[in-house]
Amino acid sequence: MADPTVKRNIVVVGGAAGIGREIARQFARSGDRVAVADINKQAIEELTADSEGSIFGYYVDVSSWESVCHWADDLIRRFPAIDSFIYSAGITNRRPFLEIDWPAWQKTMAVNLHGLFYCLKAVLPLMRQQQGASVVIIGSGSAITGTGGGVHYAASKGGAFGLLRALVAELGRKGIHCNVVAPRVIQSEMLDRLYPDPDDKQKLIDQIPIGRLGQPADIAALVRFLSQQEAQYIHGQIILADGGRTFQAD
Amino acid sequence: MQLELFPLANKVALVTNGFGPVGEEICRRLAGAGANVWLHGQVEEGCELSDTMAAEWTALGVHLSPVRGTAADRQTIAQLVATILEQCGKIDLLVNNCQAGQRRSFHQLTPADWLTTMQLNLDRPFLFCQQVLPAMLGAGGGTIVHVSSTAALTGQISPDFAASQSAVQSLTKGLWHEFHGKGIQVIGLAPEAKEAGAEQSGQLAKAIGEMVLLLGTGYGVYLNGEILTVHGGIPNG
Repeated sequence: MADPTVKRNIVVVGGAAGIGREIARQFARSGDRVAVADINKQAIEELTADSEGSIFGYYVDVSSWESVCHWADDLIRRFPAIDSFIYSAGITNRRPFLEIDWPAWQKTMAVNLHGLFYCLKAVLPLMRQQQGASVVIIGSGSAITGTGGGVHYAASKGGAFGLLRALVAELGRKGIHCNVVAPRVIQSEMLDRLYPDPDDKQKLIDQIPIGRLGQPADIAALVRFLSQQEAQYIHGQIILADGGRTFQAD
Repeated sequence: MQLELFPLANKVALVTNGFGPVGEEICRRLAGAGANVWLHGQVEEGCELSDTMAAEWTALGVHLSPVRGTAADRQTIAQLVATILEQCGKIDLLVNNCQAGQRRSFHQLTPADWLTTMQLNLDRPFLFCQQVLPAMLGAGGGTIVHVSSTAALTGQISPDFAASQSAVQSLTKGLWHEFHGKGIQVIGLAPEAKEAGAEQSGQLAKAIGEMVLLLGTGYGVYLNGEILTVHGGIPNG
């Protein structure tokens, strides 16, 4: 078992709001040092203000390679070796396929997919090797079903699957295990925007065998488990966290 | 049951990223079955299509649309689709060949490489689908085939290639989900991604051509929203 007195260095991209914020808070509560990167400055300030010094905030635009590089240069000074990297940045603007304009497509790809690559490219060289380090990518069940946040969202999240599989051999040799957690409907600001009507949200709940929406804490607990050295043999997997919704008959 | 000699007579097909073994095999199959085929593909700057090649395609009745520069240029794509609709009145079959890529490691991969692969394999099919779908919906139906690869599952070839393949497979699922009740068939074909000898590559291209031909004829119409793996019976792992 990992020594609970040893503080680990955790990086959560997209960690100032939604699922990412809960992930950052859970790690911080367990005594780890957490670096949160996000584009929402106000949310960063609110998160770090009540973290008692355990969460460090960084303003980063993940859709910009230059911004990510600049952040990585800062990060290495405070976090010379990273134990766990979590990518939770994601946007969507649900709309019919023929109404997805070119800027919306580009922006969704830039944050959800290109940003993932940029951050991995910048952060993987900073990760601790052969000591149980880990990568967890927050994907989406919509990549499997094609439903949810729109076709652009599904495609952007789908890209994480192939990227994950491409990294399995290289990261495995370095003792870094990596996985994708694929939630479906999780109570968050994003879900409230996508489903503002309570009746629509109830229809979603009716489709979930476990009988409730997922909570950020459900995902954070899974991410924390996968981030530990004890979970090292779970490597290269796409783990659906959906309350049993996806693979059931209508 | 007897297949017609030219089962695609009066059908109009558009094949993207067509200059390569798989794209060319698809075009040959479709044209051989009587379809009016339009081939869109990127040609390297400074390269010209050989006279022999151009003559062969012309004899088959395939319209060539070679493009240079940015393959995901929205204006070029919109113009090509408008030209086809103007001349033929419809597009029955859109085949997005999404297999641009080259072998390289994560370490070798640059952000510029990444974006180029995504432009070719992800942005381009998105743009073609957006341009073609209104015409298909207006005509009451159509078939879209996305040719990706098993790298989506195995991560082979390169990280950018594998990511683009899984992304386009999710694009396929999303399109199927949104349009299956409107007469649109959306299918993914995922040929084996391992580099193979010339003979095996030829067999694989032939197999993809045959699958597209089957889907174009309407015999495979009960398949929808599937990603069909095409690996010649040789499993991974």
